Amino acid sequence: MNLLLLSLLLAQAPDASADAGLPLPTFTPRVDAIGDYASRFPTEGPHQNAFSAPRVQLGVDGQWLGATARVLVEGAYATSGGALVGVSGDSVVIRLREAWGGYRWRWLEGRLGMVPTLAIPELERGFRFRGLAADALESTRLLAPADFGATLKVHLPGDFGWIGAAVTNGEGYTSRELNEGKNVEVTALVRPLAGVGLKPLELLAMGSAGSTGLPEIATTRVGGGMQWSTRGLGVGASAFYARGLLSDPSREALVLQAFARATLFEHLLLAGRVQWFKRSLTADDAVVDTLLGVGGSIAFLEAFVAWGRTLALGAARTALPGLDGHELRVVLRLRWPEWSP
Amino acid sequence: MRHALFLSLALAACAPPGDAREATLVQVLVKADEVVLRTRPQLVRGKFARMAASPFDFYRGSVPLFRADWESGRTSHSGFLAGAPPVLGLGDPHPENFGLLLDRDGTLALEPNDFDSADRVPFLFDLRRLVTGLALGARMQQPDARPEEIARATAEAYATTFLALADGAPPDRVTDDRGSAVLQDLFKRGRRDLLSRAELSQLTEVTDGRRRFLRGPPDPADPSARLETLSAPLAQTVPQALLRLGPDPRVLDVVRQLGSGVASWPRVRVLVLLDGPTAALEDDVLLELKELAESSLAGWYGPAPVASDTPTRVEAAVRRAWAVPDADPRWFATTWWGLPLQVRTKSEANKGVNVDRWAGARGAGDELAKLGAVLGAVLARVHARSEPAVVAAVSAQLRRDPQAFAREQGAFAAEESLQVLADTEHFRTALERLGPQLGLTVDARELPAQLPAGVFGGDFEGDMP
Repeated sequence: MNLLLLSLLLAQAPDASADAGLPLPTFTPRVDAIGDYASRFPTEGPHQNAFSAPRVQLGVDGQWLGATARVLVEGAYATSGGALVGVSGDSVVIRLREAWGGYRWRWLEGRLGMVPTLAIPELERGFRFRGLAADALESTRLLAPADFGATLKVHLPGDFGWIGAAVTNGEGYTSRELNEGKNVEVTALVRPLAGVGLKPLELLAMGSAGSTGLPEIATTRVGGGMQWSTRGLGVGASAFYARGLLSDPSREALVLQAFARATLFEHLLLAGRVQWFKRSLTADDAVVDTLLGVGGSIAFLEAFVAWGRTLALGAARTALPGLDGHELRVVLRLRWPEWSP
Repeated sequence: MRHALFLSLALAACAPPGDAREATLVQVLVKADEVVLRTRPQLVRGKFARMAASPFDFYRGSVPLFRADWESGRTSHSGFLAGAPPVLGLGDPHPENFGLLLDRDGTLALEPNDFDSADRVPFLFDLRRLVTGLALGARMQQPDARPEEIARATAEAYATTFLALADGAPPDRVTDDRGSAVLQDLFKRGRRDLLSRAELSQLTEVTDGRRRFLRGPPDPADPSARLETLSAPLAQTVPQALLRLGPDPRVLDVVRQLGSGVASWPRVRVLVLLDGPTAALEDDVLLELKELAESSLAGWYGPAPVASDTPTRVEAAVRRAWAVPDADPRWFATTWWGLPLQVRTKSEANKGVNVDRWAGARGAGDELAKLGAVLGAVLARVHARSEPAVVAAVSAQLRRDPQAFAREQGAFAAEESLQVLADTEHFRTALERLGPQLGLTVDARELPAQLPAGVFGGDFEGDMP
């Protein structure tokens, strides 16, 4: 709370140093906390229900002239089985989600540190409701939403979008770098009709090449999508090809997803999404996720009731035990600053 | 854009691409052991070295690879799995994870004896882990082995027993050799060592009228297996971990055991010498305390795990798996210094099935099929303790065509055992190419110090990574 008050004071404080020609730096707190109750009905397996907090993030953004920085920490369950001496049972660890400094000079913006990657944040922004489900690129572990590395963006004039490149370790923010190779991601987000007032229409194209693990397993991801993102309405679709996944450098896969969301009567939220993950291009092996949610929002609070259906098809049905099923969820999310399209 | 692509190609080409299967294998094994590799590198190096010693040792240490192959779809294809809910299984029921246990009344019985991976699993995952192990052992020990027939006999016995139990037959307890030469040998040696209390002579000595553990390698032929003094602060807390055995366990000596097991090689093991019920030295009792870890199969049936914590998971599996709940009356799970821990009797009477003893006449002809039939039946008994709805659904699958089911598992095991042989060679090549830690570099600053270092120990080779 103190941090929040301090931030608001600083953000709204009169520019005392204006006479001296230099503004004060501003700090904005970031909070993203998701609470979740899930009742799961697997097609094969016992009914389960559990409360969880799939995401708790707390951080602060700083800005001074063209310089920007962010530190964002998150709490996560330690699930790797590495027992800690003196700590019985499961543990929650606090880890860095983002920690970077950057600078924007005219149309050029660079960041260095543990940076958000380029494509996933844009796709998440379009769908908006991360509390309901992660983007398919993240949930299928084809790409990480953040990683150690550097990004460079070239902003196009007139809100036409940007073209960016990222060089990262390639293991994502949850894993240690295990090899000498680095990943390179090139992404372009273009708003082709921004000049005629249709700025919400966005085209995204992404390609990445790199490696993961030990020894290096080459990973290639190529794809793109289109979305329309306003506060009241969002629709979009994307498709990505992947080579090098499931610890197999020769495996190829496809991910397709489409979403629609609407805000009615100011606070009534509707959302739906379908994801199709073709796990192998040489076998009948796919997972289809369907999600429908209805909820409401007040200021920085969102609440949802959502139904999800996961279909495991072909080989995936036996290879991924327990996945196929229905799920009913109640999700509460607190987010600051508020989402913007 | 062009420069970025060039940069990408240059950076991605830093290491030579290995064989695809080798890459998969190393990736999975390093990921599975990354935490212990960083905190106990010497011990994981010992584990990897042990895994490279023989195909069966590799098999014992590579459950994560079996899981990865299952998830990739390579080993999970079956005509008998659709619609079958998961059973409460063992997770890693290879043949050497069965052995004799001495009951409270002095009866030796064949039971599962390793529950590290016990979890909710597809019934076929467990069965395929067993039949592949049998087929692999047969290939290693018998030049004329017919692994497919051994696996088929095992699957037939599994199906027959499971269906009988589902129909209300009483569960069976294996207290004799059932006509199997391998089990005959096992029971014979178990009874012999029970009478002689062989573990006391192998691991302890009597000095000044008091029994204590040996220090160093108990068997000079195997210098990697050692007993080391446990630091006093740790040793003093051991009785607290044993309170379930009685209010005042009289601990005579405690040592750290190194170089035991395969998959669990890097885990903390402590041997405890307890004073027996009388003043005589011959009735002293040995216990083994082994650190447990999260199941290798955790997470398949989320969001809730099968138990709230590891000791609860393992203890529940133990009671479920055995024909009688106290097949080893001193077996339980607890925590010690925050580490999940399994306590059990350390006795030479509690002998495990040993693939190395399948050579010659003992494993020839139909003998391994007989062994497989007994192990398959024991596994079926474990699975049949699952919820009634689960048992009914699995039964429905098995009843469709038991013979075809057995043939499918026979063909699977014959093929998969060859894959394990090939994987062992991949693994040896990788160790040679990437080094004893499979290429993972350990930062010495991350190694545990002080108390954790004392708990994990393992620097018995005297060298640093």
